[in-house]
Amino acid sequence: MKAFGIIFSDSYSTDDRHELIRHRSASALPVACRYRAIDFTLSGLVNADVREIYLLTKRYYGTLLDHLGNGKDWDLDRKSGGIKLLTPYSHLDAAAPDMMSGKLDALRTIIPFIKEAKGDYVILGQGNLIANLDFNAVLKQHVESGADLTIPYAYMEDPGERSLVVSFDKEGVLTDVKLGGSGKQDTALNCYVMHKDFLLAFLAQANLYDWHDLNRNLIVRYMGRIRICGYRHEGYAAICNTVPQYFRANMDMLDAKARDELFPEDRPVLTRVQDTVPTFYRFDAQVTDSLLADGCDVDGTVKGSLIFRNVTIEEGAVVENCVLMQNTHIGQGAVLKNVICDKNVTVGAGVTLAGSEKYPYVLTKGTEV
Amino acid sequence: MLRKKEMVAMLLAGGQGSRLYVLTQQTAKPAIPFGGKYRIIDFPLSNCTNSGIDTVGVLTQYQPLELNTYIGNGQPWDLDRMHGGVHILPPYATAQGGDWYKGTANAIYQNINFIEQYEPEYVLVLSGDHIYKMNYNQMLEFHKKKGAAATIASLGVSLEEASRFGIMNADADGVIYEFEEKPAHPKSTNASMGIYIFTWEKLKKYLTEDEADPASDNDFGKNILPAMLAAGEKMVVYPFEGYWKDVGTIESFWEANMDLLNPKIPLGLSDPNWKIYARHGALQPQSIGSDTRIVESMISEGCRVEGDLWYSVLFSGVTLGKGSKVNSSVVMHNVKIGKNCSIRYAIIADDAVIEDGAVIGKSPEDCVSPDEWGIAVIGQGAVVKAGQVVGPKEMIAPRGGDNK
Repeated sequence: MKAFGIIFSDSYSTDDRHELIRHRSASALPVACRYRAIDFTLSGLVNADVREIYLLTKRYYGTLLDHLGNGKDWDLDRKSGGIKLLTPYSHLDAAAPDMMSGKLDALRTIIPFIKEAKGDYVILGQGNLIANLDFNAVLKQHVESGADLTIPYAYMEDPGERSLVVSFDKEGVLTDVKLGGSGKQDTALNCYVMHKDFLLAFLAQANLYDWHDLNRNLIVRYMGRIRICGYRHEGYAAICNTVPQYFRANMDMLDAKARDELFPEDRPVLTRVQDTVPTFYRFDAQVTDSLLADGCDVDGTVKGSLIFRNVTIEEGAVVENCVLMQNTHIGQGAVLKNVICDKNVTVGAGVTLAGSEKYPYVLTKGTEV
Repeated sequence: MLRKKEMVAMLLAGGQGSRLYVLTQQTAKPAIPFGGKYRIIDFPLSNCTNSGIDTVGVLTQYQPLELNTYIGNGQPWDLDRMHGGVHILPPYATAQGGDWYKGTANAIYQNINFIEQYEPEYVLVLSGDHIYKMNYNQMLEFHKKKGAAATIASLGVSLEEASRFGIMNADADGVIYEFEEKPAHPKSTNASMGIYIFTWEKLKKYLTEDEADPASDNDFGKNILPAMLAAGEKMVVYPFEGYWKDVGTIESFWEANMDLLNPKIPLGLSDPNWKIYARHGALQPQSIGSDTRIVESMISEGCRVEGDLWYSVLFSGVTLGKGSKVNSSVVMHNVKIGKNCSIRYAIIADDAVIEDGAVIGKSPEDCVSPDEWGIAVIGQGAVVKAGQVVGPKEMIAPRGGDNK
């Protein structure tokens, strides 16, 4: 029961280009102090012993490729298999699919790789999913249930208007899908497991009819015609399509239960090792209910916040309910509440900034206030 | 044909480090954790890679398992090379029999063939028990400029301290005319740091002669250096300025960890241009609980802190329970500290378990006499039971070790 993985670096939707992913791939979103979104799907595959992974990038993938390097931090620098980074390219043939327009087009450009791949089953994942999926269990269920297609889902709070909300019958067969919904909903995790031959036949059909959208054509069009089963993921899951979703997912990490579900001991989340020094707490530091990465230097007050690598918080500064990404510098006496600082932001001494709990104030990469 | 290497580094990592007692009962000294996420050997290895030296032989002998596993293929230090890289060199047997490494010089002598593979012009000899940052390449330039047979890095110490070190008396040009081992009345304050660069051709000659002398201790300090000086070889002092600390005793090991918390100490651990590399997995960020006070301390990834921390170093993966107070202590990887414990002036080695309400160590001001005070040490994997009291200076053996 050997499988290979294909990860999409982005959601291929044009309406989720919020300020945090304007200049980076959605998979490269920094989350939980020291990770990037893709670490979760990538580690999930590695932990299920999937050692043949194709990553399809879309745009602004520089940061993502820099993060992944040759894959050694995930043990994916292999002679056979390992991670293969497939970047978009242009064709001389005007009729050829454009990798940028939809997931199906991107997949059609890599059909030769899919044909050569050694696994019998394929796991399609999306790099901005924050969940530690047990892909071994998903695969096992897929094979045992005799499904043509298995879609992992989770019971999630306010999944957002563009997520697929799914319902199943008693046997676990998909009976209905709708877009979005409020409250707690069974939400598809943009992840698919199928046989490689099924994928190839589907791609041939997509080519014939010029289909572009994966969800609409694979799930909506095929529902009732093929056996689509759900796999219920019990642990924490979040999708970061919008700034509020991103903010909430990070804040969720302050909850020890969510953290334990996302970082179980037997399925570690691997990430790029950067050799940062431990974090220093100085004489005036007052840190409570927070998560911090290594390499920080804290002399101010930090409450209910996530502090990424190499952040400096000077004496007298107050940081409350914030997400401060790598290399943020908070000057003396500055006060921040409900703020997201993207990388390399400098907040000068005495500055006060606040957003709302639901919609944080975002300082984009490199801003100096 | 493979490329020659200009200089090969040989790192002496075989010593027992017996003055670290329970810390080195099951582990070689260079593998002892240091500074929150490092081990002692990370300092010379990172110095090598940062100095552009890509061929390093690590001479092991005492309790090598943990050290060998740690070094692995050398990847964390960028020393996984096609040609060169890091090599573990344990003693081995030959058709003529085999010997343990009889002394530091003999360890290098037994590995002449390893060095010769790279046809180096110079050999750098290092030891695995010092904390410092140093550019060995600058030292090599100095060695070449002076046209020396041997260059010895030296640290200026105070006259009082000088009697604890090997002292080198040199003329105004830095040319050594006399060695004194721990002199009662030191004539100068150039202390040897145990870092040597030799012109390989010369060193090979003296190693071979030393090996032929059955009365020799086969030691660099006692035999090789004096023999070279007596034969009139040019030996020079390379003055080093910066932080350097020998961590060979419990007190100096504890002090060196505490030094990291002092922003005035010029080690520059955080300097991005001279990083210290270490092998570590990707652990979760450190989580700090709701009712904690953390002052002048250093914490690493994977820690869960619910208690109070003053002037202490927490290595990765430590849990500190509610109501516990840790002061002026070094707590190594994955130690579990329960609730309401009091830990003062202590070193707790990897994987130890401190159950609820345990009391370890004492502050000097709480001791009746200065003799009563000392650092308490809990060995690797040891368990301190709920409510147990471990006094100052007391040492608890590692799991499976003996309590002598």
